[in-house]
Amino acid sequence: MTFRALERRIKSISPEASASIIDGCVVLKGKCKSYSQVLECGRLAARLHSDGVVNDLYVEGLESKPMYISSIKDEELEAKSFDVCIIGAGVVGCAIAREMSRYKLSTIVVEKEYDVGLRASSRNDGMIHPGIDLRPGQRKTYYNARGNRLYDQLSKDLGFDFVRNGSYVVFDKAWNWLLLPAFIFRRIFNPIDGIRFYSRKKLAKLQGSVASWQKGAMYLPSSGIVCPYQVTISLAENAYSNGVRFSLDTAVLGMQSKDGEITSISTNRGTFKACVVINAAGVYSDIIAQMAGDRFFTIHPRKGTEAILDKEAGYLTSSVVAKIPLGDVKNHTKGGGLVRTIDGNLLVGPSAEETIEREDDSTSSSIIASLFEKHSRTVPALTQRLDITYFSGTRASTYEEDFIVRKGRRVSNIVHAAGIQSPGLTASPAIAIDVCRLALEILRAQGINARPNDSFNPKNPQRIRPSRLDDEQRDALIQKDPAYGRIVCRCEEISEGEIRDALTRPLSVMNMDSVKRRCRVTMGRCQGGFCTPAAAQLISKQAGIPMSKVRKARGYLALCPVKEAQDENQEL
Amino acid sequence: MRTRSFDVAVIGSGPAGMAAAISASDEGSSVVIIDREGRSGGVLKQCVHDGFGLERFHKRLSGPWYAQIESDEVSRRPIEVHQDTFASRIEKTPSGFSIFCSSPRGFERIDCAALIMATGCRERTSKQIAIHGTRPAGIFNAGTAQNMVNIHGILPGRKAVILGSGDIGLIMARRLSLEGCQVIGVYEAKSEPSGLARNIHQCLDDYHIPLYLGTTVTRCIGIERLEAVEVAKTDSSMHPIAGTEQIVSCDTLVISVGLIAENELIKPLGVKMDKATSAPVTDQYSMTSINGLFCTGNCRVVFDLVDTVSKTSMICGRRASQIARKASAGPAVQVVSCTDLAFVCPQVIRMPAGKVQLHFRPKKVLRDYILTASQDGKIIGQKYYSVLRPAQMEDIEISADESQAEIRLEGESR
Amino acid sequence: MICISCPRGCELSVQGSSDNLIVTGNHCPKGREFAISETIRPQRFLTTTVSVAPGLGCQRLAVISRDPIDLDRLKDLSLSLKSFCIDHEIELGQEVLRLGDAVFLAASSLKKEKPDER
Repeated sequence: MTFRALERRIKSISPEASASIIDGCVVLKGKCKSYSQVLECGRLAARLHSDGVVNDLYVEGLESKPMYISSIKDEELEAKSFDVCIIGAGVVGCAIAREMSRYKLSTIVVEKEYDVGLRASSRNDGMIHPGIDLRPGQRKTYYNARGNRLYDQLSKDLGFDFVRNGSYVVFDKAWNWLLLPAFIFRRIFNPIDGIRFYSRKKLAKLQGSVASWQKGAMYLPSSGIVCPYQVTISLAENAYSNGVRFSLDTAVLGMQSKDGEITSISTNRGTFKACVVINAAGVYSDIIAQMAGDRFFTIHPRKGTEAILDKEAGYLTSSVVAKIPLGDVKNHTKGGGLVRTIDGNLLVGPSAEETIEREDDSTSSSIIASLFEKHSRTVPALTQRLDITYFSGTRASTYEEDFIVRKGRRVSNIVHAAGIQSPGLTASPAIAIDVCRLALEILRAQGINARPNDSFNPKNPQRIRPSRLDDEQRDALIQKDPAYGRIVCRCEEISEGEIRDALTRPLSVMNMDSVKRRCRVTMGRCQGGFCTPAAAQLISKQAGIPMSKVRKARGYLALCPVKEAQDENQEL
Repeated sequence: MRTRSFDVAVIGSGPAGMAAAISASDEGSSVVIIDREGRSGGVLKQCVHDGFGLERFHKRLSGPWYAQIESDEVSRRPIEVHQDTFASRIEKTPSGFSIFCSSPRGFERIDCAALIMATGCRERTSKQIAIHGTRPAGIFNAGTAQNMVNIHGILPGRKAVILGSGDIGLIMARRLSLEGCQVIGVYEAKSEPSGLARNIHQCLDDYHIPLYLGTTVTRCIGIERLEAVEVAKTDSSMHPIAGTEQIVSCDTLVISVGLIAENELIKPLGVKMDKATSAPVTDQYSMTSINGLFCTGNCRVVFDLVDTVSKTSMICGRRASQIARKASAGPAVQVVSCTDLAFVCPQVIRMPAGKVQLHFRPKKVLRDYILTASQDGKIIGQKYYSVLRPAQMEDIEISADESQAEIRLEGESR
Repeated sequence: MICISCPRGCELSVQGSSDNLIVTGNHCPKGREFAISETIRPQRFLTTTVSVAPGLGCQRLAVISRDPIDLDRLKDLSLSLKSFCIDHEIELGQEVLRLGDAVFLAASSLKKEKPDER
């Protein structure tokens, strides 16, 4: 498409919209009648293969909510100075932090939330993708293939759970077999390890349950699963242990630059200097780029919702089952599927809806219902009755629908790791290696030669899970430390010892949801109905605060001690 | 790994477990109670309100008081009570069952000839009843809120909305109100209250707390702490009606929308389940389809009164002791319920039975109702009810002879 | 009015003047008693919890009033109990505190923790 053609088509969508090319990027300005028009224009602009799409189209009266900023305000970081500042402690930011910790540098990670990995990094299905559905030539494809292979070593070093259990892409029509040559051809450009094709008969034998429409399947042995927040937390713990500073509850509010170089970063916890800034801000990465004066892309958030089923439903699949993703290509999702999580629950989803909200975690009953309707076609025995909870997250998608991993275009000391959506979890270790290399180049240009950190320890302290030990080992462990024998969370069989460990590990965060993500307490079928007060009590003891000051996530769990409550009704 | 052996093992030290242990011990069996908490009494410990024990002790006791009477009875007998002990898994053995337990003393195996499950219920969660929106702090199950207030002394919030008019929800409305929390209202998706009429009177009316029937909570709003909930009217199938949404400002949502019997530990043993109770099929002695495996109290069926739980659990304990000493279970006869009833428990009767009480709830309110139990066309029990309500468990006594024919329940409104 | 004397929950109705009340709908004498007291002077047992000093095995002690208390005094009494703290061993049913003419009994016992316990 030519720029002329683009201009014409934009005008035909919205007469009040206009396109221009500024510094190699397509810039869209003006007004649209609806958000879907904004998206349509953005997608069209991406077809021009420019250096990026800056979509500033707006819809009158349609405004997204402001970014969440913690109420904490102090001078913690005021006038400090760092070699490297990573913005965002998602899986990408934490993987980069760990790579940076291999060098003798002062590195800080700033994160607006109370813990690491709270946004898209914990709101996904935890799949380590084989990359079957990715187009050759995309950065996604390149980083996915490299990242996938890094996971074995990473899981050994960091001690997170990882299983390569393979995935099935099921053919629902006999003619799907005709696609076989295409997939084989694609492999030449997009190598996928160990791919195999199974007939219906073989599939029935392997999977246990097969619907009548299932004609066969492609088996991808390199596919695996992890617990996504466990990966993120493990990376952060290791980075922290190797000297990286984490400043949580810290939101970047602005940046000051001079001569194409960022000089300082302002946050709710003070203004500080950094030689290199790394933008790993997820759904806010375009806003960070804007603050730096280096915006050449636009994030249009895409929301996804998943349902989590009881472990009782785990029998439905031993791995990942999805339908061949033909119908969903235009939506840039993999069409979703059933994923058996590393802990034995079953995930159903995800959905994909465009939204103007960058952090909309709300769920709705209609989306859940449609997820079940859709996926019960793949696995007929699927039932909403076994649903224990659900979650939503927003993907940081760009109009190019590809990752951005590069130095700044106009700013000399920034590296962007932006637009990272699925398969970002798989890709993040590989992205981190490249980002680290780029950051070192920038430092070298500034005259800073980073020496390797000789005391770098790639390993994390071991996680102890008594319920995974055999009976004799478990008994021996409890004899040594009785806290591992006292079970607090009965659904997930989590002991007091494990909760204590979660509270004393590197970079521990003293609140309910952080402890939950570190040791699974309250995560079972009763969803904390029984163990919430007991876990809160352990946190209060460990943190030395009263129980009424224990937070759930962002907010306090309870509001005040019973003895202090006065009669609220009389105030009416 | 330490291994111990008993005639009868009881899992759970709430009212059901304690009553079963007492009667099994009195019958001459060696008995162990396995309890995951530090103190016996189960959920009664946090039920500080009164109204317990009216039938059994003819007194208005509070929950902890009732629990203590029972635990004092337990400690007078040669019953071993393992507190802070969690049953991790159960295996069937040729001579009975093996329970693998975790406690601060170690991981040990307890063998028994008869096993009594008295594990109670858990609450349905907000996610299971399609409450959507955001998930800030301030959303609790009623039991969790009760535990926070009565055991830990922390108040979940200052301005609460309660969803569900079951007895726990009503009791929490009063409790929070007494502790200085403003209770905006109790919302119930059904067109009539789920709790007992007397609890509506003494928990809501006494404190001027409004009850909104046919209304449910559909959405939570708030970023750090709950700021408001969205409520909507419901249709006859309890689905929210679009266009009737209203925003109610509050900082706490307490959910009391039903109980789920806890039987996950014995499901892997292949125990036969009843869809109507979502719990194992049991006979009049609370024995399941597996010989020697019993299931009593609220994990068998959700009872209204602790008095009934104690009574049925005493029968269970006695029988478990006999079965542990190789008594024959006797032939089983099915009890066939009728369409008016939500469930009937026990679902099978072991013959010869003599006089047996069947517990049931109606599906909807029935007036002037006669329920008849018959076997081979012969009437073996009949009872008249001026009114039957789903909120109230009722019973009928039958007298089953030695006939092997199934027992049929039939009812009609006069 | 609904009788709260037992779980049956009879629907009672009361007619007549205060010296000659006629109660209908009750299935037992308790229902009559309740209806009359509810009409003249409604009363309830008050159940709540009070603080417990460290070292006695729990944080709250459940208490119950020995006698029924006037309905309109329940809330004030409950809020006044917030300042009480029990710091000694208690037997089940023992009188733990008095507030005016209201006497409260312990609904469970309190024992000093043994040193080996938590």
